[in-house]
Amino acid sequence: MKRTLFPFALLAGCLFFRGAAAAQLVLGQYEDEAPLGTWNIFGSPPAPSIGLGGAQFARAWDGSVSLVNPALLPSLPRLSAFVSGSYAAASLSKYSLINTGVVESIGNPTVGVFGVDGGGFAARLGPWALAVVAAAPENYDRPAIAVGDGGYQLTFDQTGYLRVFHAGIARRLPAGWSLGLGLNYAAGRLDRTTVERSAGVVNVVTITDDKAEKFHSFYLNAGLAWEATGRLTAALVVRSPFVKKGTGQSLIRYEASPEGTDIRIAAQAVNSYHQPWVLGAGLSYRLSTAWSLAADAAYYGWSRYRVDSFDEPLARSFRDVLKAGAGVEYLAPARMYGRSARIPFRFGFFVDPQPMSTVHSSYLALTFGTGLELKALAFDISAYFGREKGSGNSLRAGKIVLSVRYIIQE
Amino acid sequence: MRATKLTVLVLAAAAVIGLACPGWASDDGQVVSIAAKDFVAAGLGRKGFDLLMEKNGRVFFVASPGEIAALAALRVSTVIETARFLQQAGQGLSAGGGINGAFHSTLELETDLRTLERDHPGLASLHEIGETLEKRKIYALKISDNASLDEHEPAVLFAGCHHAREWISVEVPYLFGKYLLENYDLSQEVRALVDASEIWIVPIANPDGLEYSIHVYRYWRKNRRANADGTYGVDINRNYGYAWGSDNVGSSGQPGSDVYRGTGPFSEPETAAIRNLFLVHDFRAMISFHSFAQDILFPWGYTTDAAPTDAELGAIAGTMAGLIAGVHGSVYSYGEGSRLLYLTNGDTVDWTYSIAGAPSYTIELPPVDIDHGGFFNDEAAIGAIFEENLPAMLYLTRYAVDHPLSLRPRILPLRERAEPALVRKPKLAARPASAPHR
Repeated sequence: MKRTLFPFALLAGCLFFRGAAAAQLVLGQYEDEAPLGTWNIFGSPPAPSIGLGGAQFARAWDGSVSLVNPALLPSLPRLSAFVSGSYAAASLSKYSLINTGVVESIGNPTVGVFGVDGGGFAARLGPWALAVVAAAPENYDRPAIAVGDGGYQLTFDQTGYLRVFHAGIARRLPAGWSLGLGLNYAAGRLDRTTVERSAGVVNVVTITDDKAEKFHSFYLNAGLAWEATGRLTAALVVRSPFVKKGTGQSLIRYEASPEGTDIRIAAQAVNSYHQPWVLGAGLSYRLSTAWSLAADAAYYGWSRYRVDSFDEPLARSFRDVLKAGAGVEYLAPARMYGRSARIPFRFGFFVDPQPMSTVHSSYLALTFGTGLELKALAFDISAYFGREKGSGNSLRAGKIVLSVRYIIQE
Repeated sequence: MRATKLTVLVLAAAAVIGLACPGWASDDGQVVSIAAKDFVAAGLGRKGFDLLMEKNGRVFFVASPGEIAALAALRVSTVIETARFLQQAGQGLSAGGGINGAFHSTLELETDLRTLERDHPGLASLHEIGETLEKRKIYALKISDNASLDEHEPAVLFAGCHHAREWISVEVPYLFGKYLLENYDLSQEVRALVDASEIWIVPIANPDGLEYSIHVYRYWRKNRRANADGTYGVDINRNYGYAWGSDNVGSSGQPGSDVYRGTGPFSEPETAAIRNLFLVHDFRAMISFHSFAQDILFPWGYTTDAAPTDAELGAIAGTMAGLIAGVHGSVYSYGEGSRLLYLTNGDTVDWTYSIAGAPSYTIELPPVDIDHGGFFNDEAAIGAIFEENLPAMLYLTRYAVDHPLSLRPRILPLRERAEPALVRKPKLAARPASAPHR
């Protein structure tokens, strides 16, 4: 019983972490289209992966693995389902008009986001395995701003997300090999509004800057896994480059009363974000029935990142980066309501360099996780807490993820 | 436990099917090319095709699918070039789109200036006169009969966009250059002016600020200098070297101020670029375009004392105001900047005037006040604003050609000033949209 108390104490500890997913330096780390947390997002790691330093290339818990390495699908039960949700928070220094010349803050504004990370099913039919997954890997929310007094107000708000709908297929090959391929449809939106209102004795001036973008794209991901021994699994993964492309609409409007002045500049354009390819490798090693290790490294080709926004290329000076993480897991046997169970304890870290070439900013994060594994049902909760170095802004990043997986048929 | 399992299944299913999807876009018409000899042989020039250009023996034009089929029936070999043109368009675009509408961004201006230079060889040459803090180029378009040669002809400068939010101030000098080049062969007056002078046009003196104004905050005024206290921007129309920082009324030593003068005269690459251009040519007049107010301002800005050639400056300004009013009836007031508007020190026209008494003007373009748009102009008004300023620009150019400068050398020496004090950041503060500085 004492052992079962430990994970809850760990969980309670995790809840006290304040923090953030990647934040900003020069506009670059938090360009408008920068995902909250980090630029380097691949897949939607479930809680057990987060607990192991984000390692997910050579270790599968549920169908979410298909987003990064579908080759591991044959290692899952015959039929299973999962769902994950999270709370992510990030501190930002400079973003949009905040701390770039118009609105200034002491300290870094922080934003937190609750959401469903993903859910899906995985199935195995002989040597073949399939998965269907929906995920929400990227969020573009920013801390909203409202400043001013009675005569003058300025508000800024930005929200956005990217969702991925994925189908993966894999086949077990001889000699411990397996191969998998995933097709992904990504769709999202990004909305920004700045409103500035000045009220004089007789006149009121309102300036509105509204931008809305919807984008979508298809891309592929593939993986190769090799179960070298009963203990060691090695994997290679790749994600194709893709272009998030879609319609952007902009309206800049100036209204002044009592003259009735209403000047509008409206625009519509096809915007595109050229996302980079990702190449990764992972290892997992089972030391004993209770202890195991996992490690991942992923190379992001950000130097080819390009943005075309409202008919103009936007300057983004990015470099390729290598993100790496590792973790250790201990599975403690336990009993719950007379049934045998296992309680995982996970600890890890990851190093997450951001791609801006002007300032070399990097997050170092510690990760923790625990949960409860019953015969067919498992709950996992993990958190990471990251601190950034390089920008001089002491940025923070953090996330708590809760995942539930259910084995429908072993 | 069964309920929990069911919940997992339902949530997993909901996550898969519950997250949304959107739509696409398309276009019609193709850019095609055919051999120039085929174009002539088939008599296509007479058939109203939308001709784009001729290059390397091929003629490029826009054709509908039906027209492409008709060409095939005539056994004219066509090559679809649309993708190539779209690619080129992505690399450089003219004004007329984007979030800034019909106003130019830095990239759009560069493209259009290069087009003017390419289309008018011999009459136009494009010069990079400086590079900004964010590595953007500051361009000057020289227009003269032998533009690539330095013929030591009287020079006139037309500059725009010292202040980022004053988008209309880019358009008027740019359109002036375009007008001169396109009318050189059509107008005796234009030809005579261009032949007798060097007309320099710097439509965007502050490209970094303009881009910030377009993409982040429409009412941004200064450049993008990262000041030591964490604030941004120097007002480059307070950073010139004459009477720089002579008081804290006409400019500010506080970096967060909208009229922050910088750490020293010409500390900013934008003002240094204009200075370096101005000092190596025989500039005899200049206009720096701003908005808004409909004013024609002349030196001094830093003091209410009259300039040595105050009468001449006033007479020219009065003539220009009359010419402007004669086009669409717009009334532009005129007078010394310090008296008509407010005190300014370290501004452009005080410095250019100080060099040798070159008649120097700040023209505050429409609208007349904040109730009619302030720093905003309707896209549809760009043409009319240019048209009403055109006779004034032609007049000043003619005046410069006909009137050598009377004051030489400099009227007053440059002044130096100590580093201004820094200010603390407020906790959360923003400057109002209706900031009066223009």
